[in-house]
Amino acid sequence: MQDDRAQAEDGGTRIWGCSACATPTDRRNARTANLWGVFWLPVFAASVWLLKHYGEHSLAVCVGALLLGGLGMVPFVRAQLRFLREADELTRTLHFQAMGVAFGVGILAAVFGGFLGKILELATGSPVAAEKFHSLNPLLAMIVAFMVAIAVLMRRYSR
Amino acid sequence: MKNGLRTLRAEHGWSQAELARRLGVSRQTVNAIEKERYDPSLPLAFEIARLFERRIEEIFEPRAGAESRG
Repeated sequence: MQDDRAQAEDGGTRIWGCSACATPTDRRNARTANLWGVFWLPVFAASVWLLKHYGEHSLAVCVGALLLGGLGMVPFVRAQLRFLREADELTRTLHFQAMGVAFGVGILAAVFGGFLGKILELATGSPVAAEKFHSLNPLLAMIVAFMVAIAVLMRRYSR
Repeated sequence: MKNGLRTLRAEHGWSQAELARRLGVSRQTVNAIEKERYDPSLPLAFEIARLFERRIEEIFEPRAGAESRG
């Protein structure tokens, strides 16, 4: 009841809503970081394409493709660091906690991914599917864990 | 950490959004502090004290025997 009154007092918007969760600076910096992330995808695709088509017989192409993929990530990392440095302090806390969870889950997935792959192989009878699952597992697990952790933590601090 | 932020805000007739704007933080942060789910950083605590023209210890009070949740 008290919460309802507080929400009504603040214009009736639920605190869970986006307008409550970020300052204009946060939104601007997050948008910039996301754009650099999107920019990196074609760079990464180009890097993989180069490696696949020309990298087999040329060390220079291999190194160049790896540098392209790596350097293409630099603006994204810089934008992420800026987002965290300038973020609203609760937002920053949430992101650090979520990163901690994602890091732990990623390590667990990397360590136990082989076992999960084996389970998948036994269940489906397909070693190829299990292999793919194994190689994607830590990264996917980290991304999913980060997103779930952010949602749970936002809910926890907003209640 | 216990605090009297909600009372002080009400005394000034400010909404959470207005207080958040004056402090330069999100409304979620103000809400979390008021509900004692989050302890503000020292700079933010000083900013709150300055805004309400109080000393920090008049606004924030350690909860005896309880660890910080922030």
